[in-house]
Amino acid sequence: MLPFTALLLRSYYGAIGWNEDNSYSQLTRASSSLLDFQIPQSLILQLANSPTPIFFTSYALDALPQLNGSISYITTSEPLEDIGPSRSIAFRDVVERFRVYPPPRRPPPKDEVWLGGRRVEGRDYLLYSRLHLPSLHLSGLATTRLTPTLQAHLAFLSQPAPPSTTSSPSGSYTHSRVPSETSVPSPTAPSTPGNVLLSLQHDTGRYSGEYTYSAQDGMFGWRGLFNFGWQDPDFAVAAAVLRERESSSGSGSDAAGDIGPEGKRIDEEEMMDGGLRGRFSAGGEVYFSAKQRSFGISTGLRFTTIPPSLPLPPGSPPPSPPTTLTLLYNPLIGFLSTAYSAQISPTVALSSRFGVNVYSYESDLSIGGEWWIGRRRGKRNLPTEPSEPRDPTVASARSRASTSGTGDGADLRGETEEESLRRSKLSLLGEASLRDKEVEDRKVEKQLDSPIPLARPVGSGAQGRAKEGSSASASASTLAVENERDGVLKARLSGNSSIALLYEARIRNCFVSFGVVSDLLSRQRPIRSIGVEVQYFS
Amino acid sequence: MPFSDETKDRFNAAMGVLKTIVTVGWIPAVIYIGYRNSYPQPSLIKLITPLA
Repeated sequence: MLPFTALLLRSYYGAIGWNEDNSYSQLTRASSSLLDFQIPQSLILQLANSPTPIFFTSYALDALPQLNGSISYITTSEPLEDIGPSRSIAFRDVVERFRVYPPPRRPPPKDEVWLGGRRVEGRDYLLYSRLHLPSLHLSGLATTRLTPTLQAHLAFLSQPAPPSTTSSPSGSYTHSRVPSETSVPSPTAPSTPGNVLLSLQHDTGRYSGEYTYSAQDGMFGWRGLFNFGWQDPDFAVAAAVLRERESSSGSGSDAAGDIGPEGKRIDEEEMMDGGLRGRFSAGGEVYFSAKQRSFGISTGLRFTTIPPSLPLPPGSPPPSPPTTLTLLYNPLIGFLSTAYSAQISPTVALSSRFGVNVYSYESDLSIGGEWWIGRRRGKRNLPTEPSEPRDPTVASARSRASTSGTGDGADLRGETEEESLRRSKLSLLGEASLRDKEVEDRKVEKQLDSPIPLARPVGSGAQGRAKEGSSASASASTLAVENERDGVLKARLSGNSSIALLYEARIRNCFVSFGVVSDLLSRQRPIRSIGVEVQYFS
Repeated sequence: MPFSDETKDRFNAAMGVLKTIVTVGWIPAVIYIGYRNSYPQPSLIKLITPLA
């Protein structure tokens, strides 16, 4: 199951329009979700709450080997509506699963809100804090978006130094305090000093770069990812809309409807009957530390299919099964790893990975898969349809326009001036801003991306307008909700003949995950570890 | 060495104070920012306790 932090970060990236998949660190995400899933180590309980849409708290308790816990507080600049009670969150968003992501977009800028001649919409940010008890470790993260394509992260880990009886010149709460060389009578383990990590992410859609610095090691890092054959989907959509308007105002034919809501598709040139339609990405990373005089480098290549855009236009071949192939190579230590992951049926995805060291010829093979089981029982709040957020906007703007023109002081729904001005501005424009379209597209994509892809009848593909597509996908989403699975079983078989099983499900409004790692060849301890984790969102 | 020992000592002392302030005040700062930017503003107890 995803830790609460990762869930929040993903939801935050989706809310601000940031590509969470367009980074070199996520290159092997598809196979890692099937082959590197984490088994809970002991009995873990987590309780998460969201008192307001921008503030989240989480309490976690870890029973074994020692009772310890943690408290975390998170606040964001954008309300995250995806995080709600555990009975209404989509289960597929909470677990790490196999999915193929659509091609990345250039992150759109935040909508402008003008008040008295100044822009007051503020900056996107997320602040995270976590305090481990009883060791009083504090870890914090602050991330903010400096420009539409540039994001800065600051992460720190602070530990209180262990009390020592020998006198030491430094203070009691320091980051990089090395335990003094003179022997300390009490047998305290030398604490690892705290750390500060700075990171700058630059994402333009086609290219994504990340520059990091770690203060503890003095390590500089760079990660880059380049997407081949990338086209700006927003530019293609604008061109398609323009073409559509011209053609509809001219002859009234819907010839431009064939293009679909996403404009020129990447695969439009070649309509092959077989084979996979996808995109290539290549990337690398370099790490350098002057303090430790160490150096690291790795490169990677990925091929992934493009999720089909529903409704399918007539005459197109059937969509290819979601597949991802990755190749990683580390030139310094000579490690070559290839992975192949595919979704072979609406509920089953399999993956295999083969790694070999070209200098020592040691190799390792892992095979894993996930199987979605457990039909949903009971009622569930359906996710709000994409067209809904626009109707209250239009309604409130109309009523506001009838009372006061400028919209100052008209707190009809308890909103602030900025919110009301923003909504009236958006509705007066007559079309959705790019940011809202981003969020809507992300919702549509999420519904399309359920583990059970739906095949739409080909005849309905004639109209390619976005609204038609959204209403069609909304009805498709109700179908998906009815067929949605509430449990997933993952299995992994590694080269050292150890098998790991993980079962995650939503049971009585809680997310439960139960895992076991077993060593098949050992006689003394066939079960290496076993654990249960329970998460509850209130 | 461009910096004298006294400057380095002062810098280290200042960094120590800054680290203490950040360590002690980080969580209250996060809670305060979340409290101030929420509409409608909840009570502080609701923000801190898990079962609201």
